[in-house]
Order: sequence, then C-alpha cells, then structure tokens
Amino acid sequence: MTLLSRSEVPAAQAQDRAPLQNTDSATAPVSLSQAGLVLRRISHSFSGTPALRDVGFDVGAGQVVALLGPSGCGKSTLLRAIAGLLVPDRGEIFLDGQNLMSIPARKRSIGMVFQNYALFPHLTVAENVAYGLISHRRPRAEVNARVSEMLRLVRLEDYARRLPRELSGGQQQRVAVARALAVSPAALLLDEPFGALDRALRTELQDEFVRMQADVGITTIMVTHDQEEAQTVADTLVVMNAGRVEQVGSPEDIYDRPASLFVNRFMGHANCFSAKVTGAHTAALAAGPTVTSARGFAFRPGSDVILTARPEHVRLVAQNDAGAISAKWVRAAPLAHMLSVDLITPDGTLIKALVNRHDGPRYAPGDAVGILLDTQNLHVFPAASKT
Amino acid sequence: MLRQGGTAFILPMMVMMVLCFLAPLGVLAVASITGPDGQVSLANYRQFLDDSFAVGVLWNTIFLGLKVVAAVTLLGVPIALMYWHAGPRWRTLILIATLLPMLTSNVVRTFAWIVILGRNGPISQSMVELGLSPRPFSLLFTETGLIMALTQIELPLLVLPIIAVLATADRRLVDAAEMLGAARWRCFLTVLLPMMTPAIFAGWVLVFASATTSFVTHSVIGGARLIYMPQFVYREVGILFQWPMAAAISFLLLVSTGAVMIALTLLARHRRLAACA
Repeated sequence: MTLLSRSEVPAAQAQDRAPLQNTDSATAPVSLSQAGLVLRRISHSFSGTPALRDVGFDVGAGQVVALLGPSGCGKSTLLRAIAGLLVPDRGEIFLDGQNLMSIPARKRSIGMVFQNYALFPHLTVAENVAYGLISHRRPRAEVNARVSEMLRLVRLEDYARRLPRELSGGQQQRVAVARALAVSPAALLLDEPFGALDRALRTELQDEFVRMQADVGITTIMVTHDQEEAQTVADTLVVMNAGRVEQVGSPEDIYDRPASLFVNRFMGHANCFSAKVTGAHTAALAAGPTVTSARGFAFRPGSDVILTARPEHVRLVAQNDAGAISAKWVRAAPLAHMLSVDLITPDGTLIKALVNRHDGPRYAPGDAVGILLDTQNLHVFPAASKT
Repeated sequence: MLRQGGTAFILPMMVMMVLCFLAPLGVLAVASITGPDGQVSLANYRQFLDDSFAVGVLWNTIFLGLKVVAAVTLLGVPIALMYWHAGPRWRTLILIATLLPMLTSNVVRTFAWIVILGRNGPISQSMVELGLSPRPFSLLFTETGLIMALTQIELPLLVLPIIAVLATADRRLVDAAEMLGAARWRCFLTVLLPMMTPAIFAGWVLVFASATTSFVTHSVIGGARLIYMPQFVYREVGILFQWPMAAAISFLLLVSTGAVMIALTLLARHRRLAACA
C-alpha cells in the first residue's frame, strides 16, 4: 500500500498536497510483479453524469480496504468496475500484476459478496457454495471436499441441506462469504456486507470476518457507508465523495489528519468555526475570540478559513474566561464515562463537546458557558471548501 | 372464514359462482350419468370410451394442447429474455407488442390467420419465392396452421407471467453467477430458468387450457376435417341433440385437461421452485 505519509504535515498543508499525492498514485507505473490490486485513473459516467473521476489507489496483497463515502459517491460503481460487472469509460485495474481490463468478470478470479447476498434461492446452502466450483469444472470429489471445508470455515456444517430462505440473515451472510471464497479467488469484494443485519449481530459478524480474513489472508475490498464498520474491519480506508477519492489512509490517520473538510466531517463529528487568519499563528474567530496555534496556520493573513475541532477537543469553561467562545448549554447525554454535550453559540451554530462526566460543574439547559478549543488539535481548511 | 366479517363482502361473488358455475356443473354431471331410460348409468362414458374415433379426438385435443404449449414456450421464453436484457424503452415496446394481440377479438384474429395461412398468403408466397416450395400451398385446415394460429393467440398467456416475474427479479443473482465463473448458458440454465419456472408453469396451464378449448379457432382454421373436443361436444349438442352424451364428453374434457393443469400446479409447489417465487 502506498500510504500517504503526512504524519508531520499540518492539516492545512496536507489539504494542499493531498490531491497531488492521489494523482501521483493514480498515474504511477505498475510493475508487473506488484501483488495485490492496483487501480489507475478510473473514470466512468452514467449517461453524462460522472460517477467516478480519476480514481486510483493501491491495495497491498492480503490487506482489507474499505471504500467509504455517502450514498452516490461512486463506491459501488467502483466495486462493480473491479468485479468486471461494469466496464469503466477509462482507467486500468491490475490484480497481482495482470491487467484486468480485457478479462470478463467470470474469469477475473475475484469473489464477491453482494448486498443482501444474492444467494440462489432454489439451491441449498451446499449447492450455493459448490456453484463456483462446478462452474470451473472441478472434479466431484474435490467439490464435495471443498464445500465441507468452506462450511466448516463459516460454521454452517449442519445447514448444508437448507435453502437460503430457511436461514437467518447472519447465516445467509456467512453462506455468501463461503460461496465467494470457495473458488479460492485472488481478491474478495464485499458490497455493504453487514448492512442488512441488526447492530449486535453486525458487530459479532464483523469480528468473525476480521478473524477469518486474517486466516485466509485474501486481498479484500469492502464498500460501506458506515464509518465505524470501516474502522473496525479495514486496515486502510479510501474516503470517496462525488466520484473522487478524498483521502487514502489508515483509520487513525484519517481521523486525526483529515485531508479535507469533507473527510473531517464525514469521519466522526467536526465542530466548524469560520475564522480569518490574522498572523502566522493567530486567527480571529467570527464568533469573537482569537485563537493561537503553535503549529501555525499556513495561510496568508487575511484568508478566510474554517477551523474544525472534534468534540473531544472542546473544553467547557466559565463564560467569561479569557479567549472563550460564549455558548448556551442545550442538553447532555451520558456516553460511557463521558458526557456528550450539545451547545449553541449566539449565532446559532451547534457545537458538540465530549467531556469527562465527573469533571467540572454540571449545567442546566439554557445556562451560559464558555468554550475553549484545544489548539493543538485544530484543523484548518480554506473557507471556500464547503461540505 | 375471513377475518372481521369479510364474509359479507364476498357473499355476492360466492352466490354468483354457485348459481352460474357450480350449479350448471352439477346439472351437467347429473345429465352425464343419466341413461336413455332416465336411470343412473355410466353408459354415456362407456359409449365414448369404446368409440375409437371419439377417443382419438380426445387424444388429438390433448396433443394439440401440448404442441401449442411447446411452440409457445419456444417463442415466448426468448421474448421474455429479450425483455430481461432490454432497456426501459424497449421493455415498454415488448410489453405493448405482447399485449396487442389480446386487445383484438379472438374471431378477428382467427380470420386474419385465414389470410396469412391461405394459398395466396404471405407464408405460402414467400416459401415459393425463396424456392423452398415448388408451388403455393395452403396451411388452412392443417394441424400446422392451427398450431401457428393458436401459438400467436396464446403467446401473451405465457409471456406476461414470465415478464411479471422478471420485472421484479434480482439482477444481482445473475451478477453473482457470473462472478462465480458461470458462462452465459450456465447463467441461463441455473439462475434465470429456475427463476422463470413458476411463471412458465402458470403460463403452460393457461395456454393448455385455452388451446384445448378454443372452439372458434379450431373450427375456422381446422375446418371440418380436423375435429377436436369442443367441436365434438358441439356436434353432440347442436346437431345430434345427445345432451347426456355431450355432458359426458364435456366431463371427460374437463377431467383430462384438469389433470394436466393440476399436475403442473403441484409441480410448481415444489420446495425449490416455491423458493424462487
């Protein structure tokens, strides 16, 4: 995985450099021995509406990558392009060094788990798992052995003769995974694999999938709109928006160093403040106080910017503390040992804060409080970047 | 019978069914087992089954139904597959083209077929022009002609149920088969066909019932030489005035076509096929 190393770069600079680096990765030459999946400059449009624009990134062999983004961001289209179910207008896809573009879906050696699983309703669990093996004309004894092995892997040996509709949602999901893995594909694609399950079951199956993936060690790409799921299951996240890759990185990287305001707001909550840069290390918030950042802002003085702070980087203080933004307490909800607090500033901006439940005084709805931002963990984006 | 007093709402329908369907059927049943001297006897049935010509007509009728079912399937399944692969605009077109024959009166359609099947009709003419036949020929009053006409007339009865199933079918099943290495024929045979099968069976029941009882088409295209059960019954009723005999023949027709239809319906209830529906 060519991860973008920007650990030392302040967020504002990372923002400037991120598109450049993505383009680098999108155009870099592919060596034929490169294992894993390589995507280069993939573009596609549906009757004139662009769905993918110059998408490119690498997935190392054995890695789990989650394509993450709001609905309509192009992540499912990209997955179908990798699968071969859709031929993109432009771009190239390599799997273990082999160019896939002229290879039809059924010969790509890619397993896929569909949303709602797409199990064949008239075939039993065992026949579903055997389907791919029979397509590839494996001998009968090998088919039977492999089917038993796969059913053992997903712990469904006792359900071999059931029809899919006689199984629970979680069992169906496991059959779908077993069916996709039975032919030993070179890569596995998952389209919202846990989306149809209830919360408790989802967590359980996610853990089980992570264990199984580690055992099998297959290169995996998963589409999801659930950032928690992506963070749980994947080593690397690819955040997409409006057909573009916004950022590629590890879950921590993306949470701590978002490359754009979109990523910042999509991954977890971000409190946004309009501000104007007044010096190398200072910016004046539209709400009044001036913020000083030791790291500097990397914007020319006079630039309009948006400062963002995670809820855990917002501190509550007395209203008249120096440098505090005044706000009103709206409500609070306990979250384990933390308290999630909703506040509203005089100009109507909603602020979320996450504070220790046992720290500081308790307020009542309507009370005036002050907000201090943790300047070490602020992110700065140009004001023009909406969403 | 129904929840919350629904019985009152279906009462008119039930009364109508009893008066107009079950009662006449009962009268027919009684008439069929009434001997010439007014006693209960199976003489009418025995007479029919002993008559080799009559039994031949019964078999011919069943075979005609099966042949039409086969022809409609060969033509209808590809049309349904065309619908599956078509875009929204073509889908509408295929649907309208399929429905159109149903909007024409059966008598009018049948007379149109007289023109098409005749000696100077397009079939005969083009075969001659292509050198496939030395001289013009007529398909009128032949079983081939009758099957062609019935096939066109009954086609929507098979295509519409299949289209109804395909319109809501999960396309990802085909994608899944493709991802598992299935080539086109395997995709069709193992995924699309099982998906369509309940609808095909339903269509077969409709086509078979309709093809074996289509009196107008039988008599106009088949003429006097090709006799099928409906005409046989008509002869007993309208010409020979053997009403008890006609009743017995009607019952045999009902039982024999009914057996085929029940068999198909039971087949469609198979665990695996029911899973597709």
